[in-house]
This record gives sequence, structure tokens and C-alpha cells, in this order.
Amino acid sequence: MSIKHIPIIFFLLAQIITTSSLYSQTSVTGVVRDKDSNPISFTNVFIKLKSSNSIKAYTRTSKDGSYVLNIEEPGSYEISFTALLYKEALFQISVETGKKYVQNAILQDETTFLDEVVIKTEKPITVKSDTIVINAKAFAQGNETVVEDLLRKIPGLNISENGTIKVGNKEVEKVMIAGDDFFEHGYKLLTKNLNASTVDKIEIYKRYSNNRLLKNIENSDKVAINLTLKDDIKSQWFGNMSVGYGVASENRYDVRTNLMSFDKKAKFYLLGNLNNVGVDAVGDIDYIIRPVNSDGISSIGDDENSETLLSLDSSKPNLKEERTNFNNAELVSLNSIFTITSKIKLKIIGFFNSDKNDFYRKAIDEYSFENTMFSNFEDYNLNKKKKIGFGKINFNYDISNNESFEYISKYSSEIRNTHTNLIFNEEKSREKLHEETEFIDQKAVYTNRFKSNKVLIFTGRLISEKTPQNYYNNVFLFEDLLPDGTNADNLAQNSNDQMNFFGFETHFFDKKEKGNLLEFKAGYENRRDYFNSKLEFLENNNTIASPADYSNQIKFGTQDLYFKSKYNYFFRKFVIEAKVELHQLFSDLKTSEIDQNNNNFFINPSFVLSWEINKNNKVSTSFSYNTTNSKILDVYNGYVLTSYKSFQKGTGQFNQLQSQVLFVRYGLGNWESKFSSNASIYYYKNFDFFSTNSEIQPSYSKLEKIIIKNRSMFRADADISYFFSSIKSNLKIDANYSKSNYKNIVNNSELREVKSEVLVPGIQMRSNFKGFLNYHIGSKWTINKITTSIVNKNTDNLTFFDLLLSFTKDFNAEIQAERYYFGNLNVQDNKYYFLDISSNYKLKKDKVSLSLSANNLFNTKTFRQTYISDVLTSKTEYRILPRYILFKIDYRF
Amino acid sequence: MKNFALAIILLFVFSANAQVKNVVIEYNLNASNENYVQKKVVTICAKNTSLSKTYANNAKAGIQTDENTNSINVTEKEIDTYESVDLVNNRVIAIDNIKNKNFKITEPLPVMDWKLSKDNEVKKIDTFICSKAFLSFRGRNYIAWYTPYIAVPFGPWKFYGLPGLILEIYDTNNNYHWTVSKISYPLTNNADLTVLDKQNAKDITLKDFVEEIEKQKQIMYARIMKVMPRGTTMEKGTDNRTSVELVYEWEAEKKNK
Repeated sequence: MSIKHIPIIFFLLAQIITTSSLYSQTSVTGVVRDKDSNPISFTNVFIKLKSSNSIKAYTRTSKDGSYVLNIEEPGSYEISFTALLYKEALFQISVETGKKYVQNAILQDETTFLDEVVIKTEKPITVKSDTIVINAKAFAQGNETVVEDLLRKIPGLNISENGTIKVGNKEVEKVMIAGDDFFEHGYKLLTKNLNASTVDKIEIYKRYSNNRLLKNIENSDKVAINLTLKDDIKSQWFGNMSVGYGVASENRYDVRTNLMSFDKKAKFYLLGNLNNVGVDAVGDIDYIIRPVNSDGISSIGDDENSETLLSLDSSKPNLKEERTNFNNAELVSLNSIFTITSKIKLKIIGFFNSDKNDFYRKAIDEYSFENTMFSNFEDYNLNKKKKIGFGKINFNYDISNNESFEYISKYSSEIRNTHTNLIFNEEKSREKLHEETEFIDQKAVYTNRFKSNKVLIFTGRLISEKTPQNYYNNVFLFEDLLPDGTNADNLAQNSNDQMNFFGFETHFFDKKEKGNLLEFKAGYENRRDYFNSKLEFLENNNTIASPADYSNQIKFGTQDLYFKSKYNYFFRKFVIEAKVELHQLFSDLKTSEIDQNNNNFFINPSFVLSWEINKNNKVSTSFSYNTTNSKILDVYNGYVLTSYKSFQKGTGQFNQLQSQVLFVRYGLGNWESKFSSNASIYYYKNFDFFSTNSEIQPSYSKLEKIIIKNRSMFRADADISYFFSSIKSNLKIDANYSKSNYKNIVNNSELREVKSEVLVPGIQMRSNFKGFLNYHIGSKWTINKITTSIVNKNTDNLTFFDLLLSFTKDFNAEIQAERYYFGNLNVQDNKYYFLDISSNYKLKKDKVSLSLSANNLFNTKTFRQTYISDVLTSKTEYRILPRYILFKIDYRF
Repeated sequence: MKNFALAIILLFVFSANAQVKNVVIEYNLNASNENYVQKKVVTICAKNTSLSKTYANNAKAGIQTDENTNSINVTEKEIDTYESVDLVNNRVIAIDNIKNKNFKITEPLPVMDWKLSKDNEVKKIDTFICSKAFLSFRGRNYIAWYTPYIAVPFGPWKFYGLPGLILEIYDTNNNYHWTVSKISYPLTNNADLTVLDKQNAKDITLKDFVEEIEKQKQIMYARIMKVMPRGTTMEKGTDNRTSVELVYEWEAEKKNK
């Protein structure tokens, strides 16, 4: 038995020897016993300098009650002995360097005990139901430069390497400044630039609603952060600048700058972007101009736009837009928010954008239908200049605790000038298109939460937009259309759609117990379109002819009086959403042929049911029946030129179309299962639909909308995936299949049936290694088949291989390779390869970072793609931005 | 031999008689990493052992998807965890779980190299005068307030080794913050270590347990990635540990090499 203890004793001895030999400094030793002289183990021994609270050294007694306490500096000490169940013993001891002292102690039993102490402490963070208020000062450590650094210090906020902010696991919706927001989801711009020292308090709002009066009524689990600013901060400008310049390639640049200044009264945000690397600069501020409004609140009129028919750059390849967009974009935007009083705020946003785009394509269209066969060749060279001016005013007035008023006014004006050089079947021509869009939009919203669970929102809106288009072609391509005995050598078309809209809506929310929410809306919408177009055949700029059936003078109005109701109901594992819309529609249409008034009543019901059978099986299904009304582009009766060689016209009357949709989805597996699978079916049935009656000639085509009964579309999607633990990779196989049947007329044929089938199978493998390397590889086929009296088939494939490398925390790279294959092209030009590499390096944390991106490294200059329809197979060649390497530096100031 | 056994029993009875009382401390744990979850921790201290129980808080468990931020939150259901520090046998036994399966993790007593504050700084928590100490342990830096007047060298969780009971301890990122809420000296309620054996737990070493967690985490992320479109990358730092212990000794060694 005692043998077992030898090593321990030996170890203890060894420890004592080593400690005493190592620290030949001052020490106090001794033994602690109870009143019966039994040694007390685990007694606390500690010393303090006299008249001090800080403990200088401590130890514990061992089994035999002995202790060794080493003291680093000499002085007058108090030595204390405390042990559970004993009274504290305290001795004075004067210590000199190098000497050894002995201090034994006998501890008396503790007889009086407090049975229980309840301790009250202050909480470092205040949590008030859904708001958490954090005092920035309490957590700042002085080394924070930007807000992001400060937020990193706040418990409960997780900020990822790239700046994504999460509260717990949930990403925040936005980061506001004193309740104001410029950036929505682009909040990193703010948190990475705003000086940390300006922040007073950080407020975290859970279950956030954009309309403060809808809090806890909307079913929201959004989280938002609000930063309040210190009273005394002076506004100063700060921001960042990122400058990219092409190295080892032709002149490419990408410059962006953000400048901000905030104080209690006024906030400014200035943004600039210049680039010629194919990036649409307006994308940078898209979220400011059109904040996402997915909840359908006050959305009346959101979809109302005036229409244009003529477009010269419609066909784009199936590639990243940046690859074919030869551009030269400039954008400057100034945004400001003024706090007039604590209840009144004014937000003013404006931007100016100019862009120049070049675009090239060559195409061979082989037409083959109903015993007709011919080919067209085109070589298209397009140059577009665009200028956009935009202004928006937001006026907010918080009338009281349960009432608010908002007024929004928007104005935008856009001018586009397009010039083309066209070779069509060896005929050279030049087109010019001048377009102007003017848009004015005004909206007023009044919200009243008249009971804690009931809210009423009144919205009124007024929109007016016009989109004139002036087109000119210096060559006349349509000899067949000329009246006999006349001659034309060029052509012009002027068109305009003037749209006016106004509407009112009342939206009522009633939150029931258990979270069930009842909503209904009642409203009135009035839209009026004045659509004019005129085609002119010219000879030496003199109008020769202006055929009546190629012009329009349309007045079209719809008035919709509606009631929409929605109810969400939760019952055990079922969620039911039922919607019904009642519409009373009055329409009036005046064309050159008719003057028609209609009066229709219709109901659109829809129903969604989801059922979580258990953790691994979920089913959801939905059904809806829809009546849709003709729009302005369906009702005009004169042909309008829509491209250099095609004309289109509508039905010439007002129609209503009926359809129904059925959707079923089944999901197997959940996050924890290695195997998971989803399957869904979608069936769409049009009882009536717009098809076309077309006349297709080698030199032009004419399309007329007609109404045909019964079109059906079926779509099925399925995927399975499996995680292989051994290689830490996930395999996913998916396929979707769709089939549609419809009828149309070509060149006075009978109604002919068109069957279209698309099958898209794909497979991909993706790693999830912890190390510095990860891969993602996959391939997808698109198999297309269109059957009329003949069959057109096509198989395309896209294969990709991506590598992600992270060498260090500050240095990472991404390599993307792609291979495109087009089955309908010749062997020598049916494969295209792309390789892009980008890498980032943080030179100085939060201050300077460098990046290098190499695009199109194989220097693929052209890209051919095939396309099939029920009348033709087309091979189109596009020009691609050649290889360039961009070196970029990002600097914060 | 028989006598010896008797002597042992007598000794045990004697010592049990002499030291009936333990200290039972209740702490509030603010675990801010997990969406401001508050948990209750109860620590029972004898003079040479401690046993902490952290009560599960399942208010946030479940899966939430958010279409606005395109995010999916998976919060696993929790069960109670235990840590016991045993200064007699120089070991720590913990009960922790992976996917609701309990493991009994035994490790040799880890070194906690406390640095006492040199300042004359004290903090009064209720009536207790507390001194400040610093600890750097497994990837986090802690600030502790302990009182030498309650003479047990323990605190919540695995903390041990200060000359007095820890009444408040938090890491410098404030991700974990324990504050005392109640101290009692009940007559019974011995540090009953058999509770650890009642948890139906499989024995495992700490290293194996940590490796198992990492493995499960990788599987989980792989499954999330499978539904993401091409080019989606996992943000750096997403798979960083958020547990109390961030870096283990064997991992730190590896890094130093």
C-alpha cells in the first residue's frame, strides 16, 4: 500500500528541493494546526503589505499542514491564514531579503455562520425586453480606431474577419446612426470607416421593424444596431478610397471613394466611382435608391412603370456581365440626413451617373419552319452613352408615440444615346436611338397604432413617367412594306408611353394570440397610359410614307378597386396562409379602331399549407388561381419597330387571362443528416394566354399577339446530397426538368403545336477542409429540345473548378476556372475557357489593403453561344474584355 | 489489512464529522457568444474539491432561417454540463456533450498561472472585499475578483488556485461573465461527485473530445455549404471556437513549432 505513495512523496520532495534551490530568496515556512493539534490541509496562506489591500504572495498548506511561502521583496507584512470552517488567523511579520522565517498558526473553529447571503450586483449591460443598451465607454479600451474595432469589444456581437456583424448568430439588418440609415445592408462601409471615439451608446434592437409602429405586430426576427453619437463631437470628414489600375494590360482602372461626416444635426455621405472594368456603378447605390421592401407594406404602385418597345442591345450572352461590358462609368452621389427637431427628419439623396458602353456581337440565324428555310447574318457594333440624374427626399414626422407620417418624393431623369454599326446580310447601316426617361414619384404614409395589437397604415401615391424613344436608321431594309411606286432610303420611328398613376390604400394589421396575424388591405388604383408611335419612311430626310397600321394613338386606363385579405394561422406542426383578393376593375381603351369600356369583377384566391411531419420530413403545398389583366403592351393595335428588323403589335383590345398554379414540395433530411433530398413539382395552367401570330421574312419579321386557349407548363426539380466524412466533402446531384406545350401561328400556318423540353442535370463536389485549401468542382448540362413539325435540339455544358486558398489571416486567394461547351457549334470553336484569379493582402490592419485580380487569363477574346427556338437556331459571337490584371490599393482616412 | 481498512473508514468518518459544511455558490453566467444567454451555475466547494453545474438554457434552441440576410441559424438544444476540480487526485472531470450525448472527460489538473494584481485595487461585492487577479488560460484572458475570507481555492467552472473564492470572473472580451448571486453554507449537500457517474456518459480524454467536436463542426458546415450557390465562401472566422476554452495546450505547442 505504502509503495504506491512513494512516487508522490518523492515528487513532493523533489519539488521542495527544486523550489528551495531555485528561489534562494526570502521565504516563510510553517505548519497550520487546529486546536487539537491536527494539521489542517488546504489552508489559505497569504500576505499583504501592511496598510494595503493587495495580496503579494499566497500558497496552500499541504496534507501535513505545512507551507512554504516565497516573498519577492522585503517589507512589513501581514500574514493571514484562512480555512473553511476556521476563523482567520493574522500575524505581523517584518521581512528582510534573503532571510528565512517560520510562522506557525493554530486556527480556531468558526462557530458563527451566515447560512445564506444573497448578492446584489450591477449588470454591465441593460437588457430591456427587445432592446439592449450598451455604454460604449464601458467597453472601449482606447486602442479602437473604427467602430468595427469597438463593436469587437462588445460582448455578444460577433464580427467576422470581413466585417459582417452578428448578434449571437444572427446577422444585423442594418447599422444606424442616431436612428438614421444610409447603407442598409452595406453597413460595413460605415463600421469600417466611422471613428470609434464618436460613439456614445450602442443599442441593439431585436425583432426590429422598419416601421417602428409595427414592432411586435409584424412577425419579424430582424436585428438592427443603432449607434448614438456623443453630444460634443464635431463633424469631421472620414472615409476610404480604393484605387485600382491595370498592370501588364491595356489601360484599366477602378476607383471608388466614400466620404462621410456625421453629427447630431446633419449627416452626409458622398460616394464616387469611376471604372472601365465592366462594373455598373449604379449597383453601388442600388440599396439607397430602391430600398428592399419585401414585406408588402405601403408598396402600392411599386410595380408601375411606363414601357418601351424598342431595344437595340437585348441579346446578352450567358456570362458574367462584366466579361462583355466594355464600359466607362462615372458616378457621384451625395446623401444627407438633417434632424430638424427630435421628431422631424429630412433625408435628401441624389446622384449623377454617366456611362459609356460598347458591345459587339456577330450572329448567324438559321431559320427553318413550315417548309421555309433561310439564313441571316448580322455583325453588330453598338455604342451607348447614358446619363442618369436622380433625387429623392424623405420627410419623417413622428407625430406621437403611436402615430407617424412619412413623405417621399423621387425624381429621376435618364438620357440614353445609342449608335450602332450594323452589317445585315452584307447591307451596311447605321442606327441612332435617342431615349429620355423622366420619372416623378410621390408617396405619403400615415401610420396609427390605435391599439397595442392593431395598426392602420394609410398610403397615398402619385407617379408619372414618360419614356420617349426616337429611332433612325440610315438604310431602308423593308422594300416589301413600301406602297407601290414609292422609294425610301431611310427610316425613323418616334414613340412615347406617358404613364400616370395614383392610388390609395388602407392596410390593417391585427395580431391575435399565439402569433396569428390577420391583415387586410383595401385600396383604389388608377393608371392611365397615353401611348403614341409613328413609323416614317424617308427619302433624303423627307417623309415619303407613314403607314397607318404602323402607328399608334392609344389611350388606356384601368381603375382597380380592391380588397385583399391575408391570414396566417399556426396549428401544431401546420402553418396555413390563406389569401384572397377581390377586385372590381373598370377599364377604358381607345385605339384607332375601337373605344371600349369594360367592367369586371374577379377574385384571386391562394392557399399555402406547410406541414412539418417530423424533424426529417417536411411537406409544403400551394395553390393559386389568378386573373390577370392586359397591360399597355398587350392592347396597342399598330405595329411598332422593336429592333432593326422586327415589328410587334398587341391584340388591340382589353382582355383578362385566367391561370392556375399548383406547387408541391417535399424535403427529406435536415441539417444534421448526412443524406438529404428535396423534390418539388410545379404545374402551371393557362386557360388563356398571349401567343403570337408571326410573319417571318428574311429581311424582317412581324409579330402579333393573339389569345390562345390552354397552355400548360410542368416543372420538376430534385436533388440529393451526401456528405462523405472520410474526405470531408459533399456530393450533390441535382436535376430539373421542364416541359411546356403551347400553340402559335407562323406565316399563316394553321395553329401549330410547340413542345419545349429542357433537362438540366448537374453534379458537384465541394470540400470543407479546415486547412488553407478548399475546392469546389462541378458540371451542369442544359439539354434543350423544341418540337414543332421539326425538332431542334441543343446540348450545352458548363464545368467549373474553384480553389480557395487562405495562406494567412491577412492573405488569401481565389482561383476560378470555367469551361463552356456548346453542342451545336463546330468542333474547333465549341469550347471556351476562362481563368480568373484574385488575391487580397492586408498590409496594415484596418488601414491599407492590397489586392491583385487577374481576369480572363486565357485571354479568350470571343465567345460563341447557340440558341434555339421554334423557328430558328442561332449562333452568336460576342467580344470579351481581354485579359487584364488590376492592382488595387484600399486606403482609409 | 482489516484493521487498516477500519482505520480508513474511521478516519473518513472523523474527517466528515469535522467538515460537514461546504460552500454552495450560485453564479449567473452571461454567455454573450450565444445571443446573450443567461445561465445559472451552482458550484459546491469543499476544501479540496469543487463541483460546478451549469444549467442548460434552451430558450433559443431551434433552427431559424432569415431570408433578408440569407442566413440560417442552427442552435442545438443544450443539456446541463458539469465540471469538477479535484485537488487531491490532481485532476479535472467534466461532463460535456456533443449532439446531446454526454461524455465524461477526465484530464490532469491543468496549470492555472494566476497573476495577482499589483495595484491596491479592491472591489466590494456585497460585504465581501475582493482582490483582483489575472489569468491567461486556454486562449482567453480572465479578470477575477476573489475573496480570501472564504477560504476555498475555487470558483465556477474549472477555475481553481486562488487564495479564496472567486465571486466574479470574466474574460477580457466579456464573452463569458460569471457573477455570484448567492452564497450558502448548507449542512448537507456534500460535494457529491457520484452525480458525475449518473450522467450516463462515455469516458473520453479531453483531446479526443475536442477532436470529436471539430469533426462534427466540419460536417455541419459542409452540410450548410451544400445548399449554397457557387462562389459562396465560408467567412473567415465563422468556424472559430466560441466555447470557454479556445486553445488547448497541445494545439498551442503545435503552433509554436
